[in-house]
Amino acid sequence: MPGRPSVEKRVIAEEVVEAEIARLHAALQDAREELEALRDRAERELGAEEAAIFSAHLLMLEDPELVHRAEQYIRTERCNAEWAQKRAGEEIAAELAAIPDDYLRARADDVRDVSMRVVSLLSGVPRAALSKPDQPAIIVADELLASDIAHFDRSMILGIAMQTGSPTSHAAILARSMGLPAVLGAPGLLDAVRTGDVLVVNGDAGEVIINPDAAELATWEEQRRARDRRRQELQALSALPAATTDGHAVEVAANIGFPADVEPALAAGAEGVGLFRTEFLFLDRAAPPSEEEQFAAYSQVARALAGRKVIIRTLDIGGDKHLPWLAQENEANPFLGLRGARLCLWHQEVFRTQLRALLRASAEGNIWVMFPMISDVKEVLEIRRVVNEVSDQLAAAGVPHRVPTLGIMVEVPSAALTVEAFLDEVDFVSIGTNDLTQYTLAADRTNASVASLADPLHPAVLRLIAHVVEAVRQAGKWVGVCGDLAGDPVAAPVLVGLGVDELSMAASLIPEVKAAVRSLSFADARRLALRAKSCRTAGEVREVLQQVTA
Amino acid sequence: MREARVTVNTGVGLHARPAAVLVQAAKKFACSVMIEYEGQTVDARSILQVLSLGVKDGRQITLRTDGEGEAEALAALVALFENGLVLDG
Repeated sequence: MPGRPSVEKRVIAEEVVEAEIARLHAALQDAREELEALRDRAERELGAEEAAIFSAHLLMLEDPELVHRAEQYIRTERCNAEWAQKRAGEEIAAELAAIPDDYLRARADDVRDVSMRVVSLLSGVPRAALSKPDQPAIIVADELLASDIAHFDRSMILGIAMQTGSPTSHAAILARSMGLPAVLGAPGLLDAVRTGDVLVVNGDAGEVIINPDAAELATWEEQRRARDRRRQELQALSALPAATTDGHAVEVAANIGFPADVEPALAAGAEGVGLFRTEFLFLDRAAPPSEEEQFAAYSQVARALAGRKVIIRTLDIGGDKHLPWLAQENEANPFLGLRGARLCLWHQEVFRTQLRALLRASAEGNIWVMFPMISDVKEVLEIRRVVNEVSDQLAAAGVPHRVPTLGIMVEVPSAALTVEAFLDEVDFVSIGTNDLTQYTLAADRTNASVASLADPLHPAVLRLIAHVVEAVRQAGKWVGVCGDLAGDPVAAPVLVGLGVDELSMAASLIPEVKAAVRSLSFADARRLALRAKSCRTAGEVREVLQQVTA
Repeated sequence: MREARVTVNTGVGLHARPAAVLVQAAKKFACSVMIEYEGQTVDARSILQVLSLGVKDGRQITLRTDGEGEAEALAALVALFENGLVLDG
């Protein structure tokens, strides 16, 4: 069970008071460096919310109130910095804890955590003593602070149980992110448990079972094993690459709409993000998002993917969605109107802000950017001109940035049919089969009377896809599919056979599509794609595909 | 000395991220920056003091700047509050 550095008050000579204050400030500087490192590591390994815990600690560390009080104690009590810091920290924590507000009471923990970090540095007693027990163990304590938990070695620490604290505290957030079973706020815990006891920590139920009998323990162990097995099975399936039986690999990626979607996508086996929709930043608000807000979101996703690529789509909205902060005209036919990249070129200030954020984020992560609703090469030429201007401006201001790999969505038939011209200007395309189907078949899939016409497996759509893939291969570039068709396991054989590089879909669809790809040979897929292309109707295509699974 | 009344319009009151944004902004100015709320006046450069006010969303506070560049500082902080204490690019 862990202890705290015991801090004794020592009286010091008048002449060394200023030196003691200098020693306090040196420790504050060391603490700042430790917290910055912890924050950066949390950002890399856990996430933005966990990193924010340490950002908050940094602000508190520098809080004039805390520093001032510690200095005052050194001067007025003529005592050592450790004691002064501990006293100041405890006082302020007590003041916060006295306020009848849950949020503020939780901040008292942060103050104590930060203060004890400085005390540890001053007294030379390391906190790391906690992080490595000599055999796998459950840590039981009155209180564990967030930064204690952040240091834990997960291979040796099986779980934690705390007498104090709450499930919404920073300690709980960290434990959860680290997958560490934890029970917090268990009064009487320390009286009931002795070192060496056998414990079961059931985090889900918030229970700590002390010294269960053999039968009960066996049941718990069986439960734990069953859970581990289920998790491993799911992991194994989703972690496998999507390669055909004869070794042709296809990237399988996720479509996401929010940064929070990344984690479940990775858990489901996504090898990257093939479509990061950015509309969440722009909708349901009174003013457009700032460059900083956008930069934070794009960087966060890139970081969470740890090197796997993310294809970010610039703002894709049109007349069907009215934004209070954008002057939009009423259109008779918004789906054939000012939307997607056209809208962005029209309202360039908004577009430039998004591009600035994207170029800055691209310096820090594996980011590709694509533009939606492209119908004419002149649009791409104009976009490239704007991108270069934005890049020059950032360079002139000395802001780190990079022009990312650029591509277009192929969803308008003109772009599909003349894709060769576009491939001179961009490095990749992603086929948006939803809109491509609607524009090609001239049918609205939300209109019940014609919805059945808008079938993405119609030979017309398949032939357009085939044409795009062929042109992409000739140009030596990359083609993905991000429409709903990519997530349909029935369609996987055709798309694979047509030769696309990547299929991107909602996370929940990934395991099945991977299984579909793994179940056939590329040779068969190619034959199937040829047959499908020469069918006369979508119905015939579906019959052909039915025979595959039969 | 200049002062202005502003409304806290962040969705979470003067807590968490918005409080941090305020403190970081206040630190940049040469003049002093104080906040008054329900009879209490605190230093806007101290996160602990700002948090201890416990200002709820929708409430008003008084911003007070005093010293070099106090007018510009006040204007910048008022604009920040009007932007919901969200940083602009």
